Amino acid sequence: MTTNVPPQPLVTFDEFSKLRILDPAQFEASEQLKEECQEFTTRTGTFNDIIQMFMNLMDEKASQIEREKLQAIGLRNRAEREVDGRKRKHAQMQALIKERQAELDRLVLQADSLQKVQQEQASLIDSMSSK
Amino acid sequence: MKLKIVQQASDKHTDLATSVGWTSNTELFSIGDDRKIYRWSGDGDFLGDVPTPLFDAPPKPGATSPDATEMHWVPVAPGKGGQAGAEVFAMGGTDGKFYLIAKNGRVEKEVDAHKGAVLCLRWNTEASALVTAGEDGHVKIWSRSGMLRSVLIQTGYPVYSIAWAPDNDQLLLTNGRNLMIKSLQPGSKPQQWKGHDSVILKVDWNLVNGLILSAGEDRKYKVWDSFGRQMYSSAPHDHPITSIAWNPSGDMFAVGSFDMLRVCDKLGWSYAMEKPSSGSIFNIAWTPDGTQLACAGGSGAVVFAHIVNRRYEWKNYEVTVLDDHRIHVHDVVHGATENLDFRDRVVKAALGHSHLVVATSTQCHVYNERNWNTPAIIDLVNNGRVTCIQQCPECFVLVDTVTGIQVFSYEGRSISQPKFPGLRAECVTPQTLAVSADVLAVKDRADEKEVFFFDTNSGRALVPASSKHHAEIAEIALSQTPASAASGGRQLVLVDRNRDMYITPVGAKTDLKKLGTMVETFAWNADADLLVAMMDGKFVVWYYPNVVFVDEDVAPLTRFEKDGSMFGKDAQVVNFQGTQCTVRRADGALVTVSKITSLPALLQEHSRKKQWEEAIRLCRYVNQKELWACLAAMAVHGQDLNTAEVAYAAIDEVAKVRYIVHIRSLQSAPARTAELALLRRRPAEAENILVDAGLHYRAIRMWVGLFNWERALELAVKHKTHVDTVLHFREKHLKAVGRRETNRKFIQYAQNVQVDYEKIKAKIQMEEERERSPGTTSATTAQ
Repeated sequence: MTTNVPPQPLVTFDEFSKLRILDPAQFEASEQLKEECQEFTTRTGTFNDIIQMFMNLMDEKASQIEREKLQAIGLRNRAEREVDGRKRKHAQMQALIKERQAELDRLVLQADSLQKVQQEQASLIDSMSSK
Repeated sequence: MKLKIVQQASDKHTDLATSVGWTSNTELFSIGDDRKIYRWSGDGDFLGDVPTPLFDAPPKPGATSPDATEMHWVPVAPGKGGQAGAEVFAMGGTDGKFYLIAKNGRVEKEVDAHKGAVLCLRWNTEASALVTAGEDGHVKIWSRSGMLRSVLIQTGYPVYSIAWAPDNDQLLLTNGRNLMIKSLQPGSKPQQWKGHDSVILKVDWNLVNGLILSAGEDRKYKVWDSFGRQMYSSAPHDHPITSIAWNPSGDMFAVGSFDMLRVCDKLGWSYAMEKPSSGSIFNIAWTPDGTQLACAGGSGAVVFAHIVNRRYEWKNYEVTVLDDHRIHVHDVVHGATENLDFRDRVVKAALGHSHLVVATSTQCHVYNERNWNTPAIIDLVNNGRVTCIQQCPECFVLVDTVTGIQVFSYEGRSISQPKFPGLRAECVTPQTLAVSADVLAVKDRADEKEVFFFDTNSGRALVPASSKHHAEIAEIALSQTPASAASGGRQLVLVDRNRDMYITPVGAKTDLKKLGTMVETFAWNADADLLVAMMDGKFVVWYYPNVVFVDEDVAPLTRFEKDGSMFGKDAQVVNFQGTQCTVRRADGALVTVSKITSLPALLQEHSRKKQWEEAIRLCRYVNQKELWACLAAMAVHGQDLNTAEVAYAAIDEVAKVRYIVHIRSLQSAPARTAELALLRRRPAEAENILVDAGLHYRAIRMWVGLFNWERALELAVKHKTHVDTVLHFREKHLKAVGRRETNRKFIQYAQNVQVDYEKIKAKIQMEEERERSPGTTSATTAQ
């Protein structure tokens, strides 16, 4: 490079009387490049952040969806089973009803007989007091 | 009655639970197919697992590791009480062995028993023998230490369940759809009958009531008596019945099926049902006191169920045992309620005769109806288990497994402790023990035909100490009124295995008189000498049971009969008080019969006080044949001739009236008493009276009149009078019937004694003369 470029003074002074190795134009350009690069990295950084956020969001959504999906399957199964379950529950309830009915029948019989006793006693009291 | 279910939120066993068993100090052991033994407290709390090398040791190479099929704790031998605890249980394995395992899990013995799995095993009640049965259909009996005693039987089906007979000399086993009873005697033919429409899964035989239970895959359970007669068959359930078990006292049983637990009365009707989520219940175990049970469920659940809300009724009181520690008392008339709390578990309670007796596991509390706050407390020693409480107006009897029979006053004072050899306290039920103010009667277990009598106050055996029947006795009961000569003393009624009912006086010579046949149930009235029974589909009340000892001819008249169809078959008298009788039908409904007339009780009262005028007036007012018949019998029993004459006249018993007129015409008092004894058909008694009074001639004449020639001759020879008279009458009699003398005795005496009719006539004249002269004085005193 040095061969192609006409020799230049290795050290120059700029307008602020600062010692410079690069010539001012190049320095300017590199300075600008540096700034642009910086800007670029920050921008890619933000972009990265945004992507990350987006990814997280997506993941969350995905797991949520997965969860919901499972739940839906579960619910569907449960709904399907419900028919069976209801049948079983129905049978169980029927059995309980039968049991209670039998008990009720017993109690009704008992109540009837006791009522009869009461009537008989009342009529006895009547006949005694009317005499 | 209800069931309170206690169950852990999640099943402890990770595989199905196969078997449960209670230790003697009410801890529960459960075994599951997850090869774990767990320990539980009586309240259903999980206590931890029991490590056992059988399950925990690493399996030997090449050997299959066994699963448990059934466990059974060595029962406490009878008479040892609750002290000697069960320390070892037997466990059947799927590898065909059975194991004896200690409480701490140590395997004490393992015995090769069957090909294929051991399906069931049972200790007998004396813990002297173990029976095992397996998939190979063999039934084997082993000694306590695990030595083979015998191979009892080989059947073509796997034996799923087995049970010992109450007397340990027979076994009940399943054989496919059949039930089989096999005696332990070698060479005896087994008795077999078809029990269910499908494979039978479980059987049980109760020690106390001798009834058999069976449960099968046909989704039914059935109750049989020990002869194999079906007493109850349930309606089909939703699932096969997988387990069934008697409560130790034999008054109810538990039934387990898929997600279902039921407790039923011994007659089959259901007290309560619960639906625990336990899967199929494969095994049920009752605690020895019968207040709770545990079930092994197919899901691995161990379910505890307490019997709560047991109810007792007496007059205006309702007593409910709310749970193990609380009792609720409700006075229906005054609306007052009381809550009684107990420190220990309530085991048994009895309500009656103005008192509530509650037995807990350590104490007995006696409450008076007037004071529910301060009970009399009796400490029960030795950890005994109360098996029976029986009350009478003056005292109550407590039977526990250690002390035996104890009689207490309602103040809590110990009155006596009757003892007899061979008492089996765990078998005593209210049906086999009866108590009254002066007599206590117990049916013997060793000899089912015998009833022992004790003096309630001293505890000593009465004379005679027992009474023997010709058939096995099923139920006994004593009359409850204060014993007096007028009511014929204390009387015992018993029903035997053939359902025949007999009555006998207690404390005198046993004199069993039949009252009826096909008796389903009976009870004495609590206040009077009335007896009620369900007999051959009829509801029958005896107004004066003593009549059978007085005049059997009028006995049918003193009965009140009523159609019993409203009670159905197998009804049970629950109580009989005043004019009301409560009967429990076979389906469990309580039916009350009132209007059982109180007049006989009144009449009995009059006769007891010898108020014959009032008694006659009462009968005239009511004018019922039943009452007149009762009065006739009472008057004959009370030896009041006027009343007897009036009463017999009222029921058109002309012959009896004539006879009583004849008795009245007699001059001497002993002669009259003797004639009354004859009226009661007791010639031997009459003879004693006459001989004691010195009226030999009359005694001899009596036997002659009864055509009992030999006895007449015997008496004449013994007292050396009137031998010729007897011979003369004998000759006359033979001539009248046209036969010749064949009796050797008479031939012998006829040769030795001169028979002179004139002399005999004079002698008779003299006797009659003699009887008349001292008779005038005694006749005036009798008036």
